[in-house]
Amino acid sequence: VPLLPREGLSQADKPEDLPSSCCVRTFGKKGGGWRLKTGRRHTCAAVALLLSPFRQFGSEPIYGYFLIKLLMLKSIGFIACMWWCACTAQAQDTTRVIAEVTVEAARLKNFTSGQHLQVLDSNLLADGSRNLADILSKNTTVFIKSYGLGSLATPSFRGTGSSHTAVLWNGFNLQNSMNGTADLALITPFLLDEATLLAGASSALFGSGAVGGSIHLNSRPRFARQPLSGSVGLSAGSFGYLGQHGAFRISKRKWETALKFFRHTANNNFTFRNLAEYGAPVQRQQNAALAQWGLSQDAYFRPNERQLLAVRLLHQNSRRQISPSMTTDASQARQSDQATRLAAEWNRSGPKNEQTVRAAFFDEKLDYQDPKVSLTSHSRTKTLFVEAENLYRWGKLQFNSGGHFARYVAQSRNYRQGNSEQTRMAVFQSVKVQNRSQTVVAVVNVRQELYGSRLAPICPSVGLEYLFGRHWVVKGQLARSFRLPTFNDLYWQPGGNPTLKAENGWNAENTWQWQQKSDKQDIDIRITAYTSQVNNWIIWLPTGNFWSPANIARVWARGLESHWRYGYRLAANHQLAVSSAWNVVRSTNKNRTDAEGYNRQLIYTPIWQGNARAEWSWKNWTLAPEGQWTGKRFYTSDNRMSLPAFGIYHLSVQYRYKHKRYSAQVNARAENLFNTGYQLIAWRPMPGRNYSVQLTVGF
Amino acid sequence: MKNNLIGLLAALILLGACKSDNNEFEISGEYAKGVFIVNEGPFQNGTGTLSFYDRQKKTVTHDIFATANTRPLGNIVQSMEVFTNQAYMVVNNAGKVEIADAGTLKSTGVITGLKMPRYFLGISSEKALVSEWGDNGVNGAVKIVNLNTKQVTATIPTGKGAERMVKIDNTVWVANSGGFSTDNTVSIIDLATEKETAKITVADNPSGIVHDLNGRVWVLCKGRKVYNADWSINAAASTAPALVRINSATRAVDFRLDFPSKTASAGNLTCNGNRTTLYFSYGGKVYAMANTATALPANALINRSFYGLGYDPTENLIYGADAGNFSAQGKVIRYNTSGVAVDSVQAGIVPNGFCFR
Repeated sequence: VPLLPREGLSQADKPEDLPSSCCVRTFGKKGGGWRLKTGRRHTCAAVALLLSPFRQFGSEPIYGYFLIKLLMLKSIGFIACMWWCACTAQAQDTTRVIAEVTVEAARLKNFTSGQHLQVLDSNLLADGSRNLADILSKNTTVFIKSYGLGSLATPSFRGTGSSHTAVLWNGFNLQNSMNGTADLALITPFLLDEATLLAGASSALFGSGAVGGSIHLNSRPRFARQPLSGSVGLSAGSFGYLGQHGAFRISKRKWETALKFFRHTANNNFTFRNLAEYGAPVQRQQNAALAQWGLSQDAYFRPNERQLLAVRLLHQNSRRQISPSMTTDASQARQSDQATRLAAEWNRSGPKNEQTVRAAFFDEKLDYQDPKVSLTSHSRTKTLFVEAENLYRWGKLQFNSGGHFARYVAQSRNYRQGNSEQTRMAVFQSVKVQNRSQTVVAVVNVRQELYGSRLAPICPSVGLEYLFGRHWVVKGQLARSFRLPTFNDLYWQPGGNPTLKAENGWNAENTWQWQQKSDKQDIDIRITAYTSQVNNWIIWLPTGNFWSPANIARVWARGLESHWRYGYRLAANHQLAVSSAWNVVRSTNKNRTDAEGYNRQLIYTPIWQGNARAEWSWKNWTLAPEGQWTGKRFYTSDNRMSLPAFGIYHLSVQYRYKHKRYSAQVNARAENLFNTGYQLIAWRPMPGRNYSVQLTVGF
Repeated sequence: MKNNLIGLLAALILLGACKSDNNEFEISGEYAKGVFIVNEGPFQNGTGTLSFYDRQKKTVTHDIFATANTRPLGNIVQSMEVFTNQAYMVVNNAGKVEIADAGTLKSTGVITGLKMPRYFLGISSEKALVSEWGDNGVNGAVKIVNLNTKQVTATIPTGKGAERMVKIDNTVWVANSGGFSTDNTVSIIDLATEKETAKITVADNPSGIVHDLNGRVWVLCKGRKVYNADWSINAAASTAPALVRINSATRAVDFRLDFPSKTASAGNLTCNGNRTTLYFSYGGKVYAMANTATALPANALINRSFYGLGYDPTENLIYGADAGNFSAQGKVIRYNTSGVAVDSVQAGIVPNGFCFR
């Protein structure tokens, strides 16, 4: 048993690595004859168990609401069909001997040499109560700008802006075409199977937005030995938090279908000391409740060893109240977000060639209302993606060539009519060469994108990786990056500037990694030095009556990022692991026309930040203390105002129980142990000490 | 949302104060004499600040309220008045008036329960008035505050977007600026009965009001701006800004002077110390006009656009607040009465007005 690696390629390469609390399987049932009946009984029982909490905890007839929403989605037929196929197919297959089809995310796994890939621990994804913002802020060096518990949260990767981190779902960019950002508080990684962070620019591979880094959320088939697996979980926590989540998977020789869902509600009415008020009164956060649910349905069909067809549905629904800041009066604002994403992928792999064709359709709605200022805003975006690529292997060389097409349509009262559509097309090519022992790897990538009738900057990247000695890896990359202007930048009335150019930047980085693995211990130390520049950075400036965006800013971010991990195995069921990650970054404004901001640190970009975690596992127990530290953040561009550095500490305890193929797990978690008052966005209070418990049953 | 923000920003223009000193209260402390620069601060999440200009040393101290109290004032500091020996800071988006000792800026209390408050007007050591836009920015009202208990004692509905006030004998005249909508009236409140007793129709969206030496009330109206789909101004449907003169005794409109352009903005009405010259902004320039004039001035005094305007009666200088890019420190430029720039000093984020002591 490996020592729970927290990151690194090794884990990603194990397709059967299941989140422990999500699906707990027993092995050794090779060829076990699961009958149709068994499968159905389990499914029915599971559905009943699943739905009960909706009736119990909901403040409204949630069960009906849930079903109606499903019907509205018109996806119930689709889901039912997938499950019916899987169940009926069950009777025929009794053995599973076909080798894994491992053709997925070829660009991410094959052509990112030189950059660091961090695969998030599957345990983190197994927790249906955590959103991506929460997971990233505690386990990575990505700084998360959060407006409060469950509120809007955007990333700052290596000192770049909130729209400079691309978030991809099975290869499709989730950044909103209207505002360019992805709200990480609305992404629940539980619905996915794997989350990977790719640090540094990767526009040459993934296009617009991958400037500071990119986050890849993927789901994948297991074709596991166990035909039926699943889990259901219930969680409860401070501030009225209640959550339910479940996952079910039927895995056959040729078919697989997986359904996951979550739902949670919270009042988020924590107390905080309002330092902005006379007498610094202790106040209760107001207008901060949320209700969110989501589901993913993946279906895979493997007609033979060489082909794989995947169809995926992801739906998320969120209703949030928008809490006031400490310096403002009571708020009545609220926001609802709905996103439905449907994708299909076909893959064929041969000895020399491997083809992938994928397509997706996104429909996203956002409604915002603030009765206090008589504001109602509705917007909707629809996006169609089609992508095809071919991987060709020729000796030590690999070539990946592909094309990308996307059509974006946005509806908003704030756009001039007919001006809110855009077609983007791109061609990309990658070449990889490695020596026989695979100790030297070089990749060259290039991408050219066309948006509307304009060309984005041509985007090349070169990566090198060298393994030497027994323990060393040295790697680096030089890459160009770009970000296209958003619909708001181009078409917002008033102010939108249709003549904006794409932002473009350069990124260079160098990583030294030292790894040692033995029976007793494993050590992994990594340090990366990076420098990146973004030119033509788009910012909004007042121009008389209104604000208008311009390609005016220039930012230079440079820093050091380090990760280290030490694992020690005392006995077969007794192990200890300590890990930590740090980032130090100077990200400065190089725009000379901005006299006040010139050479100052970008706002909300901590100069240093880090986290550490220890994990002590003994028999069925795991105890894990965590710490999270963030340096001073300026919140005015002239750097006169700043938020102080803070450290917060968390503790989690886990107990696992296993009986035959059934398992139960209890997680208890205390966050912000020392009740530290802190803010991530100025005057937006964050919660003090809070607790949560979670019970998960797996089969 | 941005268009709304801009609308609000444009509407948050402060007018300089013409007030009389209350000499019976002694003020001592480092901020007893000088000029307070009111910086409303960035919209949405930030906090407004006060900067203090020392006329002798010609230096500025920033963030004096936060320095004295280790806490911020709150979001969008709309205006400041010194009354008796207390400083009253009206914090618009926090729905409150912060009270501090006028000499030391040490916090002494707060008036809460206000809805988008705009301006403070002291009446007696016990009573003060606060104008507010109200819920949704249209239910304009004047709130009566008991200064001893710091509680609101009465609400007098006026017109939409109750803005600047001026006290004339036992009445208070309130310009109803329209708020997020449109209004064209000035309300007159009787201080004895605490009721609105009259309404005078002026031009669209009156924002500034000044009581001159000759007993005339000057009301600067912003006019109504109607926008096309592409946010250019629809001149045909808009109304021009106007300056209206009212006889304070008869309450009759003497005349109304319409500005030539329907698309240009007007605002920032203020006056000099002895209330004989009016100053205001129009079309990105500053104009001066004698209170005896019956026509609009032909030539600008200062060829520069300001977010806020003030007149310092101590040194007879005109103060212009330049908010710059609205996200970093702004500037204050001082001019003599001939419109010649004297010097400039740095302000906080989005300076919108002044309080001269």
